[in-house]
Amino acid sequence: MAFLRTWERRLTAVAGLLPVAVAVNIGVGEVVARLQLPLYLDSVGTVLVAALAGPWAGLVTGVLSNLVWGLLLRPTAAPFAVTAAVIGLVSGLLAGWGIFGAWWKALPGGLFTGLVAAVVSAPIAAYVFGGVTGGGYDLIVALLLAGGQGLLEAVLTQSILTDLVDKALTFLIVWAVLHNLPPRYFERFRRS
Amino acid sequence: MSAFVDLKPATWTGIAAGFFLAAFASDEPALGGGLLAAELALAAASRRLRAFLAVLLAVLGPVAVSLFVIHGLLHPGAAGVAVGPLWVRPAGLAFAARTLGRLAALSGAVLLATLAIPPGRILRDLADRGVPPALAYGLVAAVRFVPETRARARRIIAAQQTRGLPLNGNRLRRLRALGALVRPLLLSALVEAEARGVTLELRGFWVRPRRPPAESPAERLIRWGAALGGALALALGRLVFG
Repeated sequence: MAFLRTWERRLTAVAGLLPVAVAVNIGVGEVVARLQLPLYLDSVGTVLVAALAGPWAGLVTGVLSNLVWGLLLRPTAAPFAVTAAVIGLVSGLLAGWGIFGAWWKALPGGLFTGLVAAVVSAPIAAYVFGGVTGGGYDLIVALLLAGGQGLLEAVLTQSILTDLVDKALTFLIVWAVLHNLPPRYFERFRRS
Repeated sequence: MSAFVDLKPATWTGIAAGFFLAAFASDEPALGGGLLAAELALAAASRRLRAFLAVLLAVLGPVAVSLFVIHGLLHPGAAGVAVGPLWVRPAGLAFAARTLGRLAALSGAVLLATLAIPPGRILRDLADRGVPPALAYGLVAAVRFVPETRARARRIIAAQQTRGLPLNGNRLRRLRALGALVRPLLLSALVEAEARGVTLELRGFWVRPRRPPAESPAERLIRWGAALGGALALALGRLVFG
């Protein structure tokens, strides 16, 4: 019974965190847009949940984020729910191995997650969207196509260039936030 | 007509899933156009045509420009013809049209569901169907929480600007400002999440009796028919067209 009670409490804490994290993913996008930075930073909430509550919570947050984003602001975000799920899963697994213990561990963790995200999202971007999103990154794809690369190759190169920096920065932000939280905050998400 | 207005959230989700799957059935341009026409007819039947068109055009407008410019001029492996000073590739334009048709059908499917389902009804419907409360709450609360968080982000930007934080200038300067804006947003969101978690626990979040939703057999038929029809179209389309 005590085990069930702990499990229930943990799930309730995650349920309270999920919608906030989804909204944070979109809210940080608002800040990035205001600063006119060439970044997405649309996974900060997902990585934060994954770091606090584990890979499956990260996966669910990723999927929910893109569904909500698709429903509210950009219907074209829905196909990228797969990428968001993988980001949540991978960052949760990496968090389990202690990569948020220090910034110099978080940085390579972010780079690795960025690489995985690029490999997963490139075929979706190329096949479903023809490699364009209607944003500034289309210029990179155009330059690579003009340089003689194939579509998938150009989209993969663009994704790697942007996702590596983006996810490295995302992981550093999450590391900084986790180090500013009081220890009691982690208690609610502890597995046993 | 009013029958479409009153369809349940699950039925709209089934219809949207059907369109979403069918959009991948083939690369023929006619498929995207046909699906979009059917979605427009459904939006009109449910009295949401104007909102449907407005959002679809706003979302797909920039994508369409990029698609036609990039693929019309640079599509890999396509032969080109001179049009004034430009070297236009007809195969690239056809690819852009095909991709845009599919994107319009996909976005239209999501929009059909979005415009038809009020968040309050989703939570009730999902809970009645036995979906885990955490997932149902997560989806609905996120939909409601997004505008609030965006507004909070704008307030933080304004407050930091008032305190003298430079938000313009070179890229490095703007990147430095990022921390000062994102940190308060994240920390306030985490405090809010903790409060929400405690409230959910106090309200006996996990104790929720399941009530089977009252719905007509016709509505169930529409839901499953649309979703399975989409899946079947996808399977057959891929078998026939490759």
